[in-house]
Amino acid sequence: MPQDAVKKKRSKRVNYIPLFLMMLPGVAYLIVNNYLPMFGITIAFKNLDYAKGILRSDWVGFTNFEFLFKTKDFGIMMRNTLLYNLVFIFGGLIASLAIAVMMTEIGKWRIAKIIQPIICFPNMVSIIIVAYLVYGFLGGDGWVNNTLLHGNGISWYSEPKYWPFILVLVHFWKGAGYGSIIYIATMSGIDKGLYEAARLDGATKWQQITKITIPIIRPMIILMTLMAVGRIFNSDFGLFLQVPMDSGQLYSVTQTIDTYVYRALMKLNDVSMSSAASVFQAIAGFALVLASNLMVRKVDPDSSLF
Amino acid sequence: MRKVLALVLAAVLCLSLLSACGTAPASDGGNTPAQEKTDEAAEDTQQADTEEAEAEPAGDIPVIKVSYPCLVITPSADAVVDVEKTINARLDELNAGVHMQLEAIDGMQYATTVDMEQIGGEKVDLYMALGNLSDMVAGNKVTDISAYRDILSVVTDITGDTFLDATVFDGKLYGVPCYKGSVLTYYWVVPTEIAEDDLGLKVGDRVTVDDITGYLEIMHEKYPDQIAMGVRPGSNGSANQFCLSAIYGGPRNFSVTGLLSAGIGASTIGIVGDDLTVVDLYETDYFKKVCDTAYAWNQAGYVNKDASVATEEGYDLMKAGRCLSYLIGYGGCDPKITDADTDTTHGRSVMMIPVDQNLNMPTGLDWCVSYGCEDPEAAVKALTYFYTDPIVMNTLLYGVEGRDWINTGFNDDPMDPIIQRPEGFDALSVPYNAQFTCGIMGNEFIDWVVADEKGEYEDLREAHLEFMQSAPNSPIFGFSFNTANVKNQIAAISNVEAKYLGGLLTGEMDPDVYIPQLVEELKQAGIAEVITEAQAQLDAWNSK
Repeated sequence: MPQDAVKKKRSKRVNYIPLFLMMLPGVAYLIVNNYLPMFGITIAFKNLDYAKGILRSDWVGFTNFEFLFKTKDFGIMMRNTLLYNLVFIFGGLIASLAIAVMMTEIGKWRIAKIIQPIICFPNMVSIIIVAYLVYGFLGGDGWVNNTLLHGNGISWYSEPKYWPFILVLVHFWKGAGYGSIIYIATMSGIDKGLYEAARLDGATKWQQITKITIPIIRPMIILMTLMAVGRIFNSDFGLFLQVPMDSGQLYSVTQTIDTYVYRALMKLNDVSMSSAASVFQAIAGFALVLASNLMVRKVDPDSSLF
Repeated sequence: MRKVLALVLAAVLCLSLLSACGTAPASDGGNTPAQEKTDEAAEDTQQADTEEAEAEPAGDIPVIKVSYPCLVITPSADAVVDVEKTINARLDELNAGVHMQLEAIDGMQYATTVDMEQIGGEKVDLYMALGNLSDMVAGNKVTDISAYRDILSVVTDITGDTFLDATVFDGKLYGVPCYKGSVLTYYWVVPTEIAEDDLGLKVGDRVTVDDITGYLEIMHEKYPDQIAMGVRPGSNGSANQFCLSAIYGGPRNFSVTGLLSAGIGASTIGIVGDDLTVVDLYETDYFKKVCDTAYAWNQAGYVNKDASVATEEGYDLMKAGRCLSYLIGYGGCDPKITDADTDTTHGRSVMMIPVDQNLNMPTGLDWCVSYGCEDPEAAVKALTYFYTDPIVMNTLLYGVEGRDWINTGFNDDPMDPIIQRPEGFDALSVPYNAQFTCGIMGNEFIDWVVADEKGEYEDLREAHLEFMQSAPNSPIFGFSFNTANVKNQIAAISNVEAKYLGGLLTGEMDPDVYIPQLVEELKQAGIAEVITEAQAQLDAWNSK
């Protein structure tokens, strides 16, 4: 089917029209759902007055942000939010990759069909139930105190020192299996021939993983990590509020920006102040994404987001 | 050909999007599907409201929407329609010149639902500020109704002139409180058997906290495997505690009036006794005493393990046979009545021994007119019938005669019948019942008395009225603190409190070590500014 080259060039733009039309709904959706609400950011800088409405409320500058920085808690909650998230991002990456590699390895056995749902299951459990499961283990009359420690138990809910480990453990128990799905999907797309060739050349399993699997899925790893970095100032609210049963004595290790805002505004119900907190999280997260993307572009331009 | 197909497909895609956009707002007030699902009851009612509005064009009579919380059960939409008709017929009979449109909202979602309606610009006229009026005033969500004081005079004729003082901010009137006592009497609840046999207590006895400490020792010795004193779990972020801050704040103890709530019975700042100086309550002997007692109980092993995070109520634990007593406050009761209660809640017969009561404070349950109300005058007018007319009030509470309730004929007064559920129905199964909301509706003393299925009833209204009037008033009764200028400080303070209160009020933290830390952190959070602001407002209020 030979085609006329000149005609093709001329009609190129015409050819794109259907594509543009197809893009239109998506763009409209994006504008309506993702860009229009951004004007809501102004709420954070206003003293929201219901009678006047959002647009006509008085501007108050950064007053709404003050409560975030008011006490020494600010240092604690920033430290907690960032450190936990760093552990979650990088620890989660390693855990998810490990699970993904293992799942791909056993993929050919029938048992994989049972194991895969099992490792994803904890993710479906409501965090409230998780909190009570943990409480069942660690509570005053819980399994750990009664059975493992034979009654001379520890008051887990008033001892901050154990909680960084407990929270990390709970987080991975709940999320690692589910987090691995995207890697399993990517790995299943790798050409099996590559592994066969490697095996023929005498590569070990470990070498196959490090020399074939990881390099091929590297763009996916970077993408997922960058996306996680964007949310580094946010925290899993249920994990930090519910799982420690909101115990005040543990705040030094469980207070994050989100729980602080929750506790601060439970009584006041102030929309402006809570907006201020999320604006802070969003902008700081955005800056971090830009910075880490810049870094990625320096090291590996092909894998950067933009 | 392919090009044409692509164009058609793209066009179809666009159209489908537009049509989706077009229908969504038309079908309801812009609610997301998720909201609709979680809020079915309220949604149903809304639909009923629209049907009602369509069926009966209001003509010249203004229609005031009444959004009210329903506790325990929320009536169905169909049931509400008939109640609305009955009330409007009664209002016509009274020549009220106003009609009501009812919106029954599940009490658990009430505050959020109304807030969303307000922020979304939906019609909200009369609604209940559940203990939150000061914040509503700060956010300008309520209408100043000072101009309609003359309409409200029919209410103040019943309640007394100072009744509306609690809802005045900066000289403007923003709401009408419910007319009921807001005194809680605190009881120590112990199994009758133990109280009589082991402790030698009898019905009618009173105890002090010190007495209780002694009794707990006996109980702990005799029943070492059981929790001698059960903790009261806090809710919505407030700390677990033993009601000690409320009890020690009572008139037989320190007489504390709190100005800023820090959870059940606990306050951040307030005044002690009759001295009108606002203080940081955490620095007072009163708070030290509360924590010392809790600490003593906890260290002696009388209380729940992990008391600060326990989530079981004392009566549940008692029913499970793991707990022997707890402290709790009940409203509107005569402290002379010492109940011997064998109900299923406890699983065994219990004795309720009064310890102390708190000071009579404004209820914080205030009806107000939303900022968007088009006819505030009619709204205030409609509201007065909740205080003056038993038929309007009780139709709202109990529904329609014949369907939801029947007249037992025990009382001849047609305005004050003793009512009963129809044969085969109980409070939970009748089509309409908002009875459990009675404490927040209007004038509690015109609520009808309900007889049980055996025809037995008890009319406590007079006893309640007498008790309310005889309860010691707080020296600053009617003053409420407007927090608008110190929001940042309060937000920071809430976090400091959340950190320490659970541990201190349940006795897990040593008061000698941690109270000074708490006080220090509160200073950093700016409690001094809050005290200065409260003192200034109090002085201004007092000079009037």
